Amino acid sequence: MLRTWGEVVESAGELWETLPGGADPMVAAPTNAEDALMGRLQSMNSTLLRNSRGREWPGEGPADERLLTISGNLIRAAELVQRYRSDVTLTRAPVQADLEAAKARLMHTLYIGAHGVHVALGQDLRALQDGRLAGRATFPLTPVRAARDRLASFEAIAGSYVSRTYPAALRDEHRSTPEPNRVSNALATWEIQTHRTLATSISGANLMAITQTHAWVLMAAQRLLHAAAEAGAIDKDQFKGRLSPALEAAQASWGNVATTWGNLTPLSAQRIDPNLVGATHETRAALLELVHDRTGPASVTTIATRADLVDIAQTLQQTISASVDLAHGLLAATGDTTLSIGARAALTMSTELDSHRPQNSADPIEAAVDANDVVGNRQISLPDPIRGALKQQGQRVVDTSTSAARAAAILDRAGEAPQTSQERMNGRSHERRAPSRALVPNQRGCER
Amino acid sequence: MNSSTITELSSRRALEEVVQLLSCASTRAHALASARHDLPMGALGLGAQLAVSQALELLPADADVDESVPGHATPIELVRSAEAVTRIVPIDQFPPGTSQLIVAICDLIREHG
Repeated sequence: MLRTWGEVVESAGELWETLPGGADPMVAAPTNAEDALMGRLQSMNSTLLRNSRGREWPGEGPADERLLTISGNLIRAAELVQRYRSDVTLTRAPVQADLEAAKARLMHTLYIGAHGVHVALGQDLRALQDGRLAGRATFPLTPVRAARDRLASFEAIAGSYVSRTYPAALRDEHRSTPEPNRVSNALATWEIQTHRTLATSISGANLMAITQTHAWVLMAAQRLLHAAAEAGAIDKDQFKGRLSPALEAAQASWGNVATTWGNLTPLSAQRIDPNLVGATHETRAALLELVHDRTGPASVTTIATRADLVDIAQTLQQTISASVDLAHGLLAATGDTTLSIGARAALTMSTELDSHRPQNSADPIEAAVDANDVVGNRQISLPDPIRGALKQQGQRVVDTSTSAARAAAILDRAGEAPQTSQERMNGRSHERRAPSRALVPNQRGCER
Repeated sequence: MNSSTITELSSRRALEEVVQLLSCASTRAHALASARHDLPMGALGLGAQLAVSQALELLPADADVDESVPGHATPIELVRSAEAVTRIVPIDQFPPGTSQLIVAICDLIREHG
């Protein structure tokens, strides 16, 4: 790492110098404290490089590929800034804010990188000391200690900048418009992955993760569709009167199942299928990119600048429709005989279920949970009464998801001009909604 | 008990505590999100749950994590506490993969702090 670290620092210096308003910290006299600090880091790096050249340690050897990649990216960034820097007006506040963010990120890179090399040098020094004791290393360790101490000093100086600027300076960083297809791709990938997970690894943790995620996706869908309604991309009255309440009911039912599975699955058993984790991360990130602003919810106006709301409405219609299928999958998974839950949670839920049964009912449900299992909080097979309660919740998910999918039919017409009262009366709206005969394949006419 | 065993124990204990704090953050965030229909809080709950799973992957199967966290800290306070716990043990003494977990926790703080 030490062999390659110098290139990272030099590339960072070049990029810093290229940023609008910057001066070459090694040539021109620094005009401000920030430039002076970068100049100091460059100077420390030059000394480190000079002192390690031609020495027995670290000597010749392979470069660190990760640091080479970082260096390459910094060089590429410097080239791009050089090419386009004349296009920006430095006096504009957004440009200034973005410039500050770029500097904060660059210094943060050096800070983290220096820490990594410092840790590696510490490990190397310990290994060399052990080797020396065993008679393997023969050269003096002074240059290794000096390099380690220099890196510590470098890290502390870069850290002084980072502690003042990171992450506050990123607050007004320029954000590129989100990729148009990111949400639809993420949701489609997540839906496929949920079916794979339900087919191959049904567990309380995976059912909890699927239901938690879908509940949140429906909440995000409501926010996006609210923005679409406000912007006139979908029928505002239909959204408020029909779709929004249906989505709220569906979201609540998915959330209830998530809470139940969260309670029933001991923390030690909450390992989620890694593929599902990956797909969920991307879904969450893709939707947050639209509905989140800094540390809070994005306004309707902001959402409208980030996405084509007609496209989003159509994507969400597919998701809402597909959730019926997923709800059935969830209900079927509840019947899986390999499902197990924590004994303590089973006892708590059994007691809760018993409290809703008539007094003096035969065979209290909690009697089905063995006291020894409760003491050790062992995983036990899902008791039938609890499975029954989960199936009831699952059926509720199917019902509310079906209602939401029906209500989401209005999204078919996303982007069309809102219908006039005359159109409502003359049936034109029904004609617009009906699929063209040419587009309806193999109508057999027997499904009544 | 040699020094490497002590290190393993302290990094394991730190990760166990991180799991407990993040799980509590997730549970409380989901409850608040449902009660207030709070979308950012729901995102925090989901993100914390994913981080719990990441942290569990770094621990052995017999990890001692099932005790709940007492107190009334808010979800983001719990996430901050989890991040503070990761600083107790030097990064090179955690198992490989811990840095991604720490980045995930810091991302949650950045998004919701």
